[in-house]
Amino acid sequence: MLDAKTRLTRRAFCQSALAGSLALASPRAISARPSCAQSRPEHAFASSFRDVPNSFGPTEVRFDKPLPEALTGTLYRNGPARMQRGDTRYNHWFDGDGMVHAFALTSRSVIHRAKMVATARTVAEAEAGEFLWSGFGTGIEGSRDVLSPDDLNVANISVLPLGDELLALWEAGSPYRMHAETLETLGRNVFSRDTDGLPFSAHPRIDPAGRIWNFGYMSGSGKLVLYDLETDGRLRRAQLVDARNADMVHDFAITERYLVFVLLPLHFHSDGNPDNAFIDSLHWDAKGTVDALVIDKQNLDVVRRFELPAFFAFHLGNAWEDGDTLRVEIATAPDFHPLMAEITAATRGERIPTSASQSQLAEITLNMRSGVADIAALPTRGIDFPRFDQRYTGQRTERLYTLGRSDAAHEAAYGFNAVHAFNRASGDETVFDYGADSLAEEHLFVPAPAGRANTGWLIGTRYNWRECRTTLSVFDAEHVADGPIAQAHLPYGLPMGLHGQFVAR
Amino acid sequence: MNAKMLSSRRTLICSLLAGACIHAAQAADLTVRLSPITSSQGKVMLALYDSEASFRKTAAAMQQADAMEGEMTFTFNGLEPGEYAVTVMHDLNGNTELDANLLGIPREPWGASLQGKRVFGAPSWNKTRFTLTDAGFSLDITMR
Repeated sequence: MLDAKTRLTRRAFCQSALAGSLALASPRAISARPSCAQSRPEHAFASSFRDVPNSFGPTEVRFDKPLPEALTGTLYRNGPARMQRGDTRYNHWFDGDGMVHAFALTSRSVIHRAKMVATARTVAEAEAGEFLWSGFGTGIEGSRDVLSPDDLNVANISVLPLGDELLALWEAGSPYRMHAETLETLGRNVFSRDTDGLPFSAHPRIDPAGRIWNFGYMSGSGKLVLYDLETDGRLRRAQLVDARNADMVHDFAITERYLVFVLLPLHFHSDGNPDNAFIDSLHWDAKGTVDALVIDKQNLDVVRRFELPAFFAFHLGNAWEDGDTLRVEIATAPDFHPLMAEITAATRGERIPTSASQSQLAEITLNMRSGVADIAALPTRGIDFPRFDQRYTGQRTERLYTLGRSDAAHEAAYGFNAVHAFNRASGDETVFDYGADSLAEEHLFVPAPAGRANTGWLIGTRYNWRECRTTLSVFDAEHVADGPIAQAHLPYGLPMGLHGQFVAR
Repeated sequence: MNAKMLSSRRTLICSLLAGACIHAAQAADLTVRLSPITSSQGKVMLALYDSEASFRKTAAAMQQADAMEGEMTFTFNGLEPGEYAVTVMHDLNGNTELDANLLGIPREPWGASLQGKRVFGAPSWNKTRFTLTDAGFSLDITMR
């Protein structure tokens, strides 16, 4: 980690990083990236992880135009941030230790701060000065035993805001509690004795009544844990359900009456050696089937099981009931390993393998009466990170917001560079293209208070890999193609992250 | 404690307690050292198993003691040489069970005579068995 003196010295060598900044940055906040100046496109994604400090900010940056008065609150984001200890670098994006960011909006500016999540694992590794366990995509020679999922927990995927706190979420272990203001880690979250140490996914779903639904998986267990929480995060119920194809489950969906799981033919077979990366123990069965499980919210019983031919997916969009049919939006890819190979190459700053996967947004239909399942492509060129108006989670939504990759993207630079707003009613979509120099991160929908469905804003970050700087942008959600209505350019770049939530205040 | 020290000690005991001496060829001592014990609450309970069939079902021998922070040592004397495995639990709340969550992951400290490293799952006989010879054996168990 750089100390203040080293940072100031290095800053002298990197003139371009601060050019044109409107930042009212405190000296502590600036961390120069001396190797940025000639970032090659193959290094675009990886450059965001170079020399990431343990914390950022608080840094106040003015927006180039004033924000709409009704838009007030904080965007929280989480993502893998630390990718190196000593001489050892992680191979895969998903390995990195989690860092939670808060972007607090004022009428004219944003105040950014961020802190690493202090999980038991990252604290142990920080003390040791080296990685002690293997990761998702990286095997560590001499790794310690992995006796419970929390041994590997880096809490790096998303956040669940709960009042004065927020939970930093991984997917295969406990959430970690953080102070929503200071981002100090308060400790490992325990809902109850029975659920202590159980996995809690990074994609909880909140229904329109405020109830929080979630699940967890443990590779090789043959089970899913289901969680039903109050609005304030207290546990109402936790229950196991038998589930095959549940060795890695990233996301799920809810409708008015059901929980819907799309379970992939990805199977965990470990030889018991903790030196292996997790993905090396995962086997993709291209001839297997995807199981779609429909679970009744009342009694948490599986009421229907459907099958579809194999495909891979991380993220689901919204889902809703349409007569006898459940409709489920999902971001699919044909195959697991090529997708992982792409991400690994990008993380290592290598050329992306030419057999890049063809991802496609699709809709699964599950006919509850006939038992027939179908999947059809949606006419959008958006690819992943689906978001929607969360006030209508589980009910029909007419807009699906995703990230895509335009023709302007540099061929060798891995990542998304376009924001898509897909109109499900008309089948049209509007797109804003950030161009060749930016890698877009998740853009989420923030509703205008008491506004109609889909009225509000899209908010998200992008990383300019030529300048190694991150920008926060706000769009009018109904006019995405017009581009950002306000932008704030941070004086530094942030490690490419994953998911977030907005808390209106 | 190493095997050599053990046999010296045994020789000494033999000479002090003539007539109560255990024939070295027929019996062996097993010393089990546990650490870290992180709380002095409750009891630390050990189970010794002597076959795959009885592993984690019927113990060949058991011992327990009030927990003491730091390190604790237990000795099983007069065992027949052969294959054994040891499991340990720190019963913090006195319910004589190793409390676990819904997926069976222990919520109280536990240990076992693990041979080599592991990824997930409850310990199996094959991953915990060790050989006790008539020279005795000394086991270090890390509590999780």
